Amino acid sequence: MIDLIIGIVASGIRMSTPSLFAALGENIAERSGVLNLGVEGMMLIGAFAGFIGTFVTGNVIIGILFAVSGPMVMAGLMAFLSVSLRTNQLVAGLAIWLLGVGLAALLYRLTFGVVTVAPTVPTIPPLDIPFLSSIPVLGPIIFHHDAMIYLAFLLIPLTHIFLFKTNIGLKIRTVGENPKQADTLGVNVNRIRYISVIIGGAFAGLGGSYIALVTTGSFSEGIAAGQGWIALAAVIFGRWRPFWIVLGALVYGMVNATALGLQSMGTTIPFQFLLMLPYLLPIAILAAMYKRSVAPAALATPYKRGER
Amino acid sequence: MSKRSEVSRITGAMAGIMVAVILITGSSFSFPTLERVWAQEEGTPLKVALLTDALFSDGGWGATAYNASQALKEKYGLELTTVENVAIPDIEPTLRDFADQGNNLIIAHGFEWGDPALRVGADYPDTKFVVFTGLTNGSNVASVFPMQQEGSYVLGALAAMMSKTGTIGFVGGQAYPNIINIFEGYKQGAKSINPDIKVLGQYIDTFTDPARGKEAGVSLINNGADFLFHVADLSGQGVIQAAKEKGIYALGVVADQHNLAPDTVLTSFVLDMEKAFDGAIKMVQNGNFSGQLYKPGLETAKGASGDGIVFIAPFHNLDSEVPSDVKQRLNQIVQDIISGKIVVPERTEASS
Repeated sequence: MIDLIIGIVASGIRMSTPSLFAALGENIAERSGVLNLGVEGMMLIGAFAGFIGTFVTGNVIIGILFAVSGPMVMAGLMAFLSVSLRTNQLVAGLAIWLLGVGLAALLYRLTFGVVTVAPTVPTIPPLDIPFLSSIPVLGPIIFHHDAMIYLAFLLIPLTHIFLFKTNIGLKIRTVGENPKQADTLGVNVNRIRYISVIIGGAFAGLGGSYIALVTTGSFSEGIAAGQGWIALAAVIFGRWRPFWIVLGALVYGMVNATALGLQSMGTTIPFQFLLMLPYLLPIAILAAMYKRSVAPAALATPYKRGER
Repeated sequence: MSKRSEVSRITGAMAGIMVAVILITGSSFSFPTLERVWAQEEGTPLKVALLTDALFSDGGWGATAYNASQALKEKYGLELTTVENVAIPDIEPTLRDFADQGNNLIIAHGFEWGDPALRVGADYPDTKFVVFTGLTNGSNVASVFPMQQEGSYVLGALAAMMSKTGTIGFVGGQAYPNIINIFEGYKQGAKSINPDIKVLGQYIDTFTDPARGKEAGVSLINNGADFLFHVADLSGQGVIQAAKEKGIYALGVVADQHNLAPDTVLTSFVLDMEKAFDGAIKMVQNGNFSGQLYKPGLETAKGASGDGIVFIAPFHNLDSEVPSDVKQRLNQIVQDIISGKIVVPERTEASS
């Protein structure tokens, strides 16, 4: 029984990793005042770029570099639309989403055509951390994963330090709270926003490539399966704080894994109910958290110098 | 207006969008791509449309149908249109569109197309509709409901003969009647070999999420399964991936999925869609279309003389891993099903 529970928790961590990556990055963008709804599209581009990079070069590191750079370009476009052109961020974000969905599908089909056997690449295998992985219970849950999960673990405190302990983090937060004041203090608001949004793109790319390179070893249309939207929800859930965002992503992954685990055990609970849980629970929690959420004051507001 | 209230309005709107989006992302959304191919032959070629809610790039259900339709286009010089990724709510309008365009035959590829085809068919008596894996029929609407339970029965028997743990697993995309039927066949086949075998099942609510498919597979393996059979299209590729990483066997579906993981996919049950579509085209061409519910069953191999369209793929490089007595029993089971000695009942509702 304990083995089954360990299995479920480890599975939950794996299932929350893609949205965790994306949420940590989206948080940086939102902290600077840009709401990028295009996360899902950027993840799909990341998944495709990571897959094609690995497929062509046979080197997973190059694949991940591809996965990071593709969405960075898309994030650059998002920044151009929302920061330079000051368009409505909701609309621009949705456009980025649709662009990513369509572009990834198009490129995949142009490359491989209609085949009955999907092309695959070897997946990144789990990597036991010496000593730590032999700790009972905790070992198999936390220290028996692939390198990308450890990277995700590492990025949690790093993004926290980046946002709250560094000079540029302070600038990002100021720009997101009060761009006018930041401007008077000599901070280049647009540049900071560009940087933040593009960092968000890189993170989304990591999340997307996790699915293609660790989970499945293949790409398929719509493979991100809504993880980008879960990431956006996790940011709100986490009230724009990295450590809380982790919790948001984990809730989704854990509930999902539990639903699958309970079905495998053959419970008498109708599977339809279990399948609903991963969507129902985050909604419920989101509704409960709503009153306490404090968004960056300038979120989704374009900044124009000299305007009140 | 205070800054705070504006912010909370934005947050409120965002939360609202998030909730709406979380609700809709459960289902995939539509990106119809149209492809028109004009036949070169003289006279009036038969106008045929292949419509599906699946993707042609799914490496299985949709891809096999697409390739079958292309092969038949060559064979008969059809004027063929293919449309994929039709959202479930758009099925009826899509059917109506293509009936309006004067197609002689519309092949609706998927169980969910059955009822809409019946409704649209009533308004377009000159158009013939064939629903693949459907269960509805009318004067100009026929359905082909292959006896897939016969194929999965054989796979279940094979898994039961070769399982070391006495537990085997199944992952289904949706609890559609045709998929329940396949699962039930699998269970019956396994129990015919070993009445005490545990057959674990999962429905994962998606055909397009291999990541979820993989975790479902891992979860079944954690519960002791050492054979994984999937009917989940793209999600199923994840199931096969789980089997590959854990070093157990997987069973493929619809197409021969051997090449996806040569050391993992022991065999697959294959649907010969080309044969099914060919039959439909011949009926329309010869003017003897009959709105029946066709139930083609098991065959020994592709191109066998009977009218079945379900067969079991070869073991390929894993041939030596299957003991000869297992092969013998398996062949006997296939023969017995074809001859009618073993009858695998169709069950479209789940048993415990």
